[in-house]
Amino acid sequence: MNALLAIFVKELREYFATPIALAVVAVFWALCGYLFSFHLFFVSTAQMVTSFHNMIILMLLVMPLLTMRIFAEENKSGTMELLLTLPMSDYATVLGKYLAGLFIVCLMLGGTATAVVPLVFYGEPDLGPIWGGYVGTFAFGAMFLAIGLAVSCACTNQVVAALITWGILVMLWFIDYPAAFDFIPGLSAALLHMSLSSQHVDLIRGVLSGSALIYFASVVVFSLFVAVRLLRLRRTR
Amino acid sequence: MAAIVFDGVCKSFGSRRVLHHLSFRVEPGEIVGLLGPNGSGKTTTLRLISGYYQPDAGRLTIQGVAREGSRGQLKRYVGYLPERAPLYDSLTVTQYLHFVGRCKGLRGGELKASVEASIAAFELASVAKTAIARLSKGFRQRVGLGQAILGDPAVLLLDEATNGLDPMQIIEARDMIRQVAKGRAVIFSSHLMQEVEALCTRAIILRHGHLITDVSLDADANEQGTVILLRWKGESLPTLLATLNAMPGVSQATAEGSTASDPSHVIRVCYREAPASLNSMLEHAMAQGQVLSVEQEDRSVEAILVDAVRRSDRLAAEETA
Repeated sequence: MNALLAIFVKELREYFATPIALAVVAVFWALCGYLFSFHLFFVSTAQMVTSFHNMIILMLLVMPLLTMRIFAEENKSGTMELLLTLPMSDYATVLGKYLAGLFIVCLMLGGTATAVVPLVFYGEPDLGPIWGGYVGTFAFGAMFLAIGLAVSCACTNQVVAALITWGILVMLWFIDYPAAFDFIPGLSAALLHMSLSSQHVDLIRGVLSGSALIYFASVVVFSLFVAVRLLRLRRTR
Repeated sequence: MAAIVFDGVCKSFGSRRVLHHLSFRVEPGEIVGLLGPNGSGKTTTLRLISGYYQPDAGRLTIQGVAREGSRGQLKRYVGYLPERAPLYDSLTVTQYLHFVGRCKGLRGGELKASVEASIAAFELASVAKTAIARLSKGFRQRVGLGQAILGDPAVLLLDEATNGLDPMQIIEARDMIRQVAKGRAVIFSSHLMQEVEALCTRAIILRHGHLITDVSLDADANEQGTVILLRWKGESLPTLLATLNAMPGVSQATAEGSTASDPSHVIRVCYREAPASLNSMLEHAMAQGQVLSVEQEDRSVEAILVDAVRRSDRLAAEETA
């Protein structure tokens, strides 16, 4: 636990010492604010559903930039060797880094909560779906982070890590395309369930289904497990 | 109890074997220089001790605990400075030392005391609040050494710890390493012969993953006294060796085999005080053309390394033939 906390604190210090994390958060906030304001003043729709959709699309674009350095930088600078020879488990290393990333995701989403203030001030929004929407958007962020972390673990080049993460996320977004042909009904159902584009339709409305949350949690656990296995693989290669 | 014991340790990467049945021991208080050409297995040896790699075969124990089974515990016994002293540039020196200390399981007063001791040992107080990115190479190396001694490890592994430093920095680093090495088993891997000579009490030389020489640098000269090398072309080599070994004052006389291209033998004679009978015998043999040359053996680390590598290559060539 001590080591996990040490990794968590170290990661946060590194996030805020480099311009990338700050730029990612700032750009995310700025674009979310712009899109929310556009809908509010020009489309005259005061709701968060579109905002949650925009947030997920923006996270799909910016999260690889946030995750690319998590392990790739350690691999490149040689600090990975030191990290793996310290008396702590690989799980602590991966979890510490993941939790620090989740903190940044929370920060990103927390900043957008300012959009809820005018809705509450000028209207009477149903806060239940808004909370649900935030939980759903957070689930997307947590999944993007876990996938990016696992990819970063396998790379020494940060740009390559970001590109591969983008590739996986975009593939997961559109993975239901073959379902339109319905060649194998069982497979089509599975692809629709795996598809992020179909999952997000309910989640941005604050509709949290158990199967969707289990799917997201499974991807997170699997990705973190892959990251731990990749760390162990380094010792036997 | 030996701090480090390698007993027939092997390590391969895929089909390529990089360490072949490596066996040696390091006692507390020893500073062992790990030498060898590039690709000889030095870094792999250090990584095995540090826990970065696991041995494929053989037994590796640290402080009496076997490598397999209790990795976390073993890592607590080891302080490791990898090659190029990898550090987190965005952290300050104190933040970095606290981070490593926490990862080593230190907390509270113990962590604070250990970090302060490390800062004092490597004279880091003036840069304690400075970001590592802004440090000179010498200070970066000190920070790397500082993290290695956190938690008071019984074993210290230093991979090319003085590489890239200027002469003054090397002298400073050497003094600091000597200070922190007291009571610990230290393995110091380096390409710099003069560093090993100045710092180490013993040298282990690796070649293609084999241990080819394990020689004491401290006591070797005192134990063996003077060593001369005779190039002998005469006959009755066994008789000559028996005569030399029977001479008072001669501690050992050994011969290396001749080859097809060079039929002469190199005879290595160790003595504390040259007996008169040895001098007269040599004069007589040289007059008769049986001794081609006499020279005093160079006992520098460089000479030991070159000699060991050449001998290893010659034996390998003979085995292949």
